[in-house]
Amino acid sequence: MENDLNLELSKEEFSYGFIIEVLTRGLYPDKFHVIREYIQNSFDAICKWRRDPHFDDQGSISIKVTNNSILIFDNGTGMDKQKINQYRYVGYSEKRVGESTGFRGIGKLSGISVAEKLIVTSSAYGVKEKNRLIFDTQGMILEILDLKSRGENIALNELIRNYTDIQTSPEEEEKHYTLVELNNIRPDSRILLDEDALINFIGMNCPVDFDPGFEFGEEITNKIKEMVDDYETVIIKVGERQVYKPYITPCKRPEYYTIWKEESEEEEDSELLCFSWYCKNKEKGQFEDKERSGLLFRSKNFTIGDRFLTREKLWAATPERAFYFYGEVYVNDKEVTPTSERNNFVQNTARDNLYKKGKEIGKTLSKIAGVDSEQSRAVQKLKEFEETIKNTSEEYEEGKISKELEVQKIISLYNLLDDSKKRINKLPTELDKQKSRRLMQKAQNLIDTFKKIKEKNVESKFYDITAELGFDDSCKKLYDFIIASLQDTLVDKEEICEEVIKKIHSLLREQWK
Amino acid sequence: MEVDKIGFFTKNKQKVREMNLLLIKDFYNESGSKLKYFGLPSEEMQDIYFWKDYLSSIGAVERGTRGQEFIKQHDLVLTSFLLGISDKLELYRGDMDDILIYGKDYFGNKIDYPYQLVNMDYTGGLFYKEDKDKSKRIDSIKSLLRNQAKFRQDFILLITCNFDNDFDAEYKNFIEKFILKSEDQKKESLSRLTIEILIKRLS
Repeated sequence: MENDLNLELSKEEFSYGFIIEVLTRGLYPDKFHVIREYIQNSFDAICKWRRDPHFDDQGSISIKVTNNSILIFDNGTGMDKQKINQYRYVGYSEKRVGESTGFRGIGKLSGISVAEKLIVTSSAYGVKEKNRLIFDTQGMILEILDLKSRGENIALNELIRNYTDIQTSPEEEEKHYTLVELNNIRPDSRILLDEDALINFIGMNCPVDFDPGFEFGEEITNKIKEMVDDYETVIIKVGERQVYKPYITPCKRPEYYTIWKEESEEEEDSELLCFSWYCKNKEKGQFEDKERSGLLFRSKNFTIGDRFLTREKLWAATPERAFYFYGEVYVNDKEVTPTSERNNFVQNTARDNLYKKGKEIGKTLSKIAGVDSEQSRAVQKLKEFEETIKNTSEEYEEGKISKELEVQKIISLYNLLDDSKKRINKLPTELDKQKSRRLMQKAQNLIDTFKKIKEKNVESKFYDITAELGFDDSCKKLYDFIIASLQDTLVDKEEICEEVIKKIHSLLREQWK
Repeated sequence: MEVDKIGFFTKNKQKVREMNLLLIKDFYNESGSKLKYFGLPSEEMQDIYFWKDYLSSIGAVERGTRGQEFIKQHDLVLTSFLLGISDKLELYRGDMDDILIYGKDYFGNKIDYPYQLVNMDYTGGLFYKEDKDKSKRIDSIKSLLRNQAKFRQDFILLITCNFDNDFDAEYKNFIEKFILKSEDQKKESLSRLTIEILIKRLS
């Protein structure tokens, strides 16, 4: 059989053991990506089972974390002996690009990088046996390192043959499942044993349903199903807890954006390139939760890259405006394929087209965010304006504004008035605009009042005797204070004030000399 | 319970499970809540399969075969997935006697006392002695009783073991001592201690 590669029959060796080290140590710098690889395989097996004539339930993935191992179970199609045998082959995969989430035949062995043993037990429907593959990864890595230190290498087939074992035992005919155990997780990968971190990762990256608490979850799901080919989700449980896609609040009702591969007047004539949904912050401005706000690319309902990737690829300018939104971009073009590590898409014409046309999304959202930003700023300024007018009025009524500050107050009120005139049209509601007009009138009234006082002060300017009498600084300060107090007290009795000051001057001349 | 589906039970074992089930049901009806299980269910989890409707959680100890320990442990978890009870399972990897004596498994996973149902389905006997006067198994059972007694709650203890004619006298001696021990425990408000001994002749 062509697919049934037999290690024993290999006469030529084209790969060497070091490839294992490269694949396992270099490919997955983020340890959680290893878990995602197995979830992807399980998801593909479940999707396949859903299309099987014997299909009886939707299937689910259960993950169990013990204090040293992780076990991932699915009731998908399962694997027969031949497939389990093929499981050992690096890069061997029957999955077709665009049809399944995984397709390179590398991810299945990713557990080698985090665990001392990889144990896979599987049973295919209709076969009265289960098969178990045991991969002694610790022994294999140690041998590779030992050979490396001696400048030697080993044929990949021989290495795999030496460190794998397949066992077969009876199983009930109707059973169909796969259990992968990452046994004895290595110390540098212990983060994987943190259930909360695992749930967070799965929720953000894997094809699970929205959290039932998200009020727009159902609406968005229905819209995605309508638009995106092969959109599917799966129940994933970690221990007792079902994992959901997290959401942020408070969100406005979602809006949608569609980009077609080719421009066409008729939608039916064009293929969907990508579909995006997004929610704006209900409270104006950016979401506080920077980790979850922004957009994420999804391919086959798995997350590709992080929120930085969309900011980088979809926004030509002002990428920070992505934080005004919470949403996703579903890539529907089968020629746009994720990289092995799922941190980006493979560079090709299709990807270039996605990034080029996808900029429409960034542009549109930036515009929305821009308007939102200006509105938000205008509302904020209105609040500040109201506060300033309130405080200034109170200070004036309580006589707390010194003459020295009067000019400053006038200038500040003028500035606020100007600013408000410029922003009034950016205010989101008519109510806000009316409020702004009222405040502007109040500001104008205050300015007029201060001006009048100032004019009176100027009119009642009196002779400064301090120079004539040669006062030192401390005496001058005391004199200024007395005169200012008199002017304040007798502000409406200007003539009396001037008479009193003249009398003071006369007495000072007599006494001082 | 769907007894027909459990064809893998031997008739005798099945009879014992049924008897035990009555005991478990009584306990469940009295306490009004499901029982926390601790024991040696083996990778086939036959007892769990029979009693699972009455169990709230399962602490399962599996040592595995020397040099290939991980296989039976893996199979035990596989069974729990197939039975749909994996979320209730807490796997303890290692030897039951060591785990009871040290209070944790080989990977530091601590025993979460108290349990309402302890099922010691030993494959070996009770009386194996490492030293002249010392039996690890007896020490481990003592440790179990001591830790359970701290919580002053009722629980069911089921012990199943192999027995050889040569050990008749010792067996009787043990039972007498054990019954006395259990009386002591009763004084410490351990109001019910049920011991089921399945004597299986080694062929």
